[in-house]
Amino acid sequence: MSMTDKHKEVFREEASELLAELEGSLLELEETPQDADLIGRVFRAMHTIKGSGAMFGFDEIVSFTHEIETVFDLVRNGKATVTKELIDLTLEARDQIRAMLDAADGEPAGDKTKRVKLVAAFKKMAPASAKGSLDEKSKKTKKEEAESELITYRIRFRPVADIITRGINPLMFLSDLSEMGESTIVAQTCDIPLMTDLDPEMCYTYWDIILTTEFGIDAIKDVFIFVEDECELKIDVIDRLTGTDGEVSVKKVGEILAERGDISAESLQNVLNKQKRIGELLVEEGLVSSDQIQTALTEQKHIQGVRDKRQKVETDTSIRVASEKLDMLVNLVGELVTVQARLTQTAANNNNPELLLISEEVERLSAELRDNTMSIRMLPIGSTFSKFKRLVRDLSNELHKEIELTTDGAETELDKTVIDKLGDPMVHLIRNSIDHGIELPDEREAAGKPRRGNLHLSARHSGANVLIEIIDDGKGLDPDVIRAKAVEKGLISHDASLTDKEIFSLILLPGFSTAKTVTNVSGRGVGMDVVKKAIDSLRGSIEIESEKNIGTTITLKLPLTLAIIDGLLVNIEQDSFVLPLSAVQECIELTEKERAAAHGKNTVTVRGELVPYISLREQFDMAGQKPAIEQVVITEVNGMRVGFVVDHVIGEHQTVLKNLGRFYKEADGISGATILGNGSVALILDTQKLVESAEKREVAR
Amino acid sequence: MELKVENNGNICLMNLEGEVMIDDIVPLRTKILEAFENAESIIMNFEKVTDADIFALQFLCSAHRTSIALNKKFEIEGRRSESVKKIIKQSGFRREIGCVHDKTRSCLWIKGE
Amino acid sequence: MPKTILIVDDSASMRQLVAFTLKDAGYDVIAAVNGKDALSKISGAKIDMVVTDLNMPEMDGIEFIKTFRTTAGNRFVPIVMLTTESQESKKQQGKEAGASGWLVKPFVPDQLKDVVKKFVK
Repeated sequence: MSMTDKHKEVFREEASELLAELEGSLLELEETPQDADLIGRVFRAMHTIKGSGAMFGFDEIVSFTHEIETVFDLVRNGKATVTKELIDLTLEARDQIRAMLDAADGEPAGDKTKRVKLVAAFKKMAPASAKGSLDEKSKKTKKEEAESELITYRIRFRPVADIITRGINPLMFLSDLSEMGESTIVAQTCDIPLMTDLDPEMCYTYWDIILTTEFGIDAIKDVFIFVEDECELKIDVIDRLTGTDGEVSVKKVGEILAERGDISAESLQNVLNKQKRIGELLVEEGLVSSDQIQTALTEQKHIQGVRDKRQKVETDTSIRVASEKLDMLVNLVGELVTVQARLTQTAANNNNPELLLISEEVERLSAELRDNTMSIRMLPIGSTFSKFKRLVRDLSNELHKEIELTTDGAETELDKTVIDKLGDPMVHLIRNSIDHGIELPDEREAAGKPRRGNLHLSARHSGANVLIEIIDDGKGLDPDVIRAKAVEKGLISHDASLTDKEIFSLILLPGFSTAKTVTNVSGRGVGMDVVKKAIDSLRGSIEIESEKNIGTTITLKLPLTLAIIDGLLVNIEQDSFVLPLSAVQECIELTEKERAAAHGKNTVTVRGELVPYISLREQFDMAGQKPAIEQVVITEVNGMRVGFVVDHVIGEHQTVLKNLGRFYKEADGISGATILGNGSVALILDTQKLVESAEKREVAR
Repeated sequence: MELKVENNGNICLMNLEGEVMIDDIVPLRTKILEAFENAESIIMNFEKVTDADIFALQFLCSAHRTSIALNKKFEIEGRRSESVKKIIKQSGFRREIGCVHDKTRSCLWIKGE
Repeated sequence: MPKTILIVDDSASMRQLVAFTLKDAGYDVIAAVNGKDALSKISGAKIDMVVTDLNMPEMDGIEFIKTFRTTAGNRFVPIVMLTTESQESKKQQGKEAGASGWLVKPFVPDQLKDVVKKFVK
């Protein structure tokens, strides 16, 4: 006997007992029609037969019994009375149930015509309003239809505070949701009170869940079925990734992203990291709460992550777009972000909740838009790497060297503009390594190294930067030789105390070349200073590490994008300026006393080290009284520490860079401008140019 | 939950052990409030906590918040067990920026480690 | 350690089906025929979840839920009501008494497993 049959058998026995009891109860009830206990028993017998019968597939019994149960439910609730007619009908009905029960599966049972009559009679006794909702479906169908569509939802779930007293742990909804797809959950904790006001059993937390799933909105609602009336539940579709069935109109940005190649998890992370900083700034300025940022951030991260995955599958759906169009888009987004910041500030000032809500929404959207737009311009560096294969092969042949080129991080993405400008300096560095770094096979063998040298190119993300390393296992740089050469060229005094790293960075200075003979390859009088200049123009930096006989590592640190600048926002009088954060090392105070101690020289002592500074107030001929305590932003320019004196340091500022018009192209020391949240303009300082012009003036003096 | 309190000058060290659940909040709160009367800083060692529920996490938020209001410190230290990490992640408490109340930037859940 | 689920139903066939389904899913099951029976059977034991019928003699489901909840250790235990009455009033009464969820008869064993899994992780 199968398990189902066994269950059915148990039901038959149970129903038989119930029917026997029912008969007795009905007969007693005829004597004492008011007996609530008896009425209850009759009702329960019908109820159980119906309920259990339904479980084991006795559908005919169920629908028939339902009618009787309905009437007795009315009697139970005092809405109908026990009459002789009811007793008679019920006894007849009982016999019918008996007959149906005894019949084997599928066989016709009892007197069908009689049953139809009985049903009609019972129905007459139960007014329409009392109809039970037997047909109400509670079927919990999880996977509705196999949709090939992945939908991302934003779900706001706020349970009633005392949810746990109903034995419901809100966590269960969260884990149910995470089982439905890719989910990111943020607990909103802002309503949690202080300890003394806290009721430990109240749930003060509410949640924002970003869920990417194939399930429809009904399936999501089903998760909350037991609390749907008691909780706040808001479900919005925020992203829709359609299948490959030609529906391309939904998300153009997505397609473009795909066309531009997959976004690696790393590059996404970095875009997000940047977002975080702007978020923090907004929080500091009180424009939005950190909770809002947190949510927006996770949402963004989530969607990007999902797209990322999806795109790995769908790399073939792509379109080509002229890069000018993208530049235009970036510009527009920049303007939008600016306007949005003003909107946010206006909304905050006006204290209008509705306006605030709108502005928050606009803010979220524009942040998303901005990050998306930026990511469109990102390209993997791989194509640049592969170009060097041929170069390395040809060069090593020419120089009779055996060199193997290895790479990693080819998928690392950075701004197209950066990639375009990176080729030349990279070629130069690779040539240097092959020419001066890696030894001839015999030399290598003599030094106990494998005959075959290795040149390794690697790219990886680090915060808002990309690090590109050119590593060779050649003979390394000799600090003594470089030092001697630098002294000879008058670049340093012979008694200068420099670390190896500082000595290595000397080769980046103009006119420095250590090659004993001018070779065809690298020593054409074009030194590392050219590389340095190119990297500087990309707002990047170069670091050199080398160990004798082990090799040299040159690290290029480049910003992910040129369109966004990470800066330090400072004030002088009412004007704002931005210093590129990549150059900033620390900020210190400059007091009247310290100024006096320097005897009229623009220097300040930082932990025993004398650091020259430039007063921007003087540099830009700004009127007004300087404050008693000024701030010095210490930066690194050309390997030197230089301070910039300002009135106030406001904080980190991330912004979309806007080029100055042609009219200001010649303005020295300014590389661009940005518009702040309040609509005012902040100039972006070119630290290098500022130092150069200060040096020139110094020399002239 | 088992709780051992060590007072070390201005610092109160609370060693928690076992499961920290909704029913443990009331006694835990009493201890924390007591500690805040004398100590400047409470360090709660979570290393031996085997599990927690969202009410416990919510309470810890509240305790942290209270510490800020009192101008005191409240920290969680010690490697968190896998199940504790899991609940922090699953319940969405893990975060990257502190919440509005986190004026001292000492949110308990940053990175959740 | 397997979770212990208490099933309260006056219908023997229902009890058997529910118990079978839940045991099959790896839970320990305690079965009782009504609220009173359930209370006497679980005294002191740690229950991880309750599945209870509503219409029962002696002590019905609503009454049982209310009493069950008064024991300190049972305050937050999930309770699912089995009911044919999908009418709001009964559901509402159950919820007010402290029930966590419900399952409308007829259901298939998988639905029961799903609901129990939802509450007992």
